[in-house]
Amino acid sequence: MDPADAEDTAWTVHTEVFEGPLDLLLYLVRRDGIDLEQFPVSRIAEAYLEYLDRMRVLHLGVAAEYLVMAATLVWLKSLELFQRRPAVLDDEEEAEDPRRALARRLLELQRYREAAERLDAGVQLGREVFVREPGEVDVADRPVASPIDAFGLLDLYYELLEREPAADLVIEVGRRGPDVAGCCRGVLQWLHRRGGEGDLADLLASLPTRAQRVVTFLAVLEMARLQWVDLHQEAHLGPVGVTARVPAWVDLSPITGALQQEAG
Amino acid sequence: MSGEEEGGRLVPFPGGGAVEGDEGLLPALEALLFAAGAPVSARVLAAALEDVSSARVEAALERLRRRLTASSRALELVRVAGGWQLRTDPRFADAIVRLLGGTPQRLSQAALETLSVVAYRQPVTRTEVEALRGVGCGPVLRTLIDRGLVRVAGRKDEPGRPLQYATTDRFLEVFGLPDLDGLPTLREREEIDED
Repeated sequence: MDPADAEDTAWTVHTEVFEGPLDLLLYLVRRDGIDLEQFPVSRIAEAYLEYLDRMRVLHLGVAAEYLVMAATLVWLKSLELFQRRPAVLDDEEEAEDPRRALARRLLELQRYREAAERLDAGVQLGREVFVREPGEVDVADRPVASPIDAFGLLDLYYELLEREPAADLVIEVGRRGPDVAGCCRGVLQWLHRRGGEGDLADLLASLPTRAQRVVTFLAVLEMARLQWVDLHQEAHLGPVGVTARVPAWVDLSPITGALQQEAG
Repeated sequence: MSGEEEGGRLVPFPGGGAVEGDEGLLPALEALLFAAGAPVSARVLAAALEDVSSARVEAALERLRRRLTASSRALELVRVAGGWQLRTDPRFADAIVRLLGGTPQRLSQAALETLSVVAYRQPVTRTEVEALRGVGCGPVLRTLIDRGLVRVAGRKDEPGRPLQYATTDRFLEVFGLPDLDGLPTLREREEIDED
């Protein structure tokens, strides 16, 4: 719609919703047929400020980032009026002209926008093409009598913390606690010493400190998520078995990459 | 059971009398792909068939693909997300949508744009996506993760160790791409990069 109509009537409904100042700039560039390679700063700045005024007239809240962009544009315009190179460029020859930098950002966004359009224009699963839901086999040789339930795991976890009072009541300042990656390695080694599977309760009970149990429990969940181990439970609230699906020397980087920060 | 000779060994394969082209493999592969639903690689298909090499399966799949296309069947065989998948021909889309009821969920402009930034720049942090789009992208990324199109791919090795995002196999499947190299090239990249 033409924003110029907006002032005339109190009933104008403004439908353009912009995703941030760059989006608005791109809209104006397209609306006014501005060549981004030329980047006429004053023309762009005027169109932008005029648009913000319209938004104010319509009592649309103008978010802070729009005002930041307005300030930037006014600054760029002032540079152009004084025919000056920005001072930042005098200090460092390598620095990019801020006008060029902004044009570049817009061109870059324009490219991704076009890529998004191409992506959307293609054939999409669930829209133009359809597939079958993956078939399933009733597997008999895997001990999944009932899928393990989250409460079973939680019960087991609390039970363990209760049953064996933690031994590490001594506070050790500055000592790093167990990390998830290390515990993953430990769990895999423990499992492989037992021919690849074991009982989760036994595994946790074998650890001396509460901290180790907690982190090892998390390690098991994380490995289950990565499908490095299978968790299985024969009966509701029964013992939870763990089966290793990867060798003990598996590369731990998926875990160190994502989790060490939290654990450390 | 008829068999076919390969390297002096009898390969048990029903209907596989003709050695050239592995004619008997085609219906078998079609059955496997139908049952699987999800994209399956030639290697996995070969393992399921036993005693058939991946190369033979790959050749037979290509043959099956051409045959399905040529005979104007309901299904197409498409190379997608590192595997092969049977999909309905797009010309039946409208009828299928009516049959299944409801309108397909479309990704918003913001979601598509964020998705393409992640696809082309992966692994990428939220801050990097936001710098490009000039707007907060947290909720959009969340939506894309919930829809299985984007995943957390680790943390960037810089202060604060921000999470990095990448696209999933599901993304390739939804947009019908064989792999990430199948993404259309970004326009004017060299033009912008040169200065």
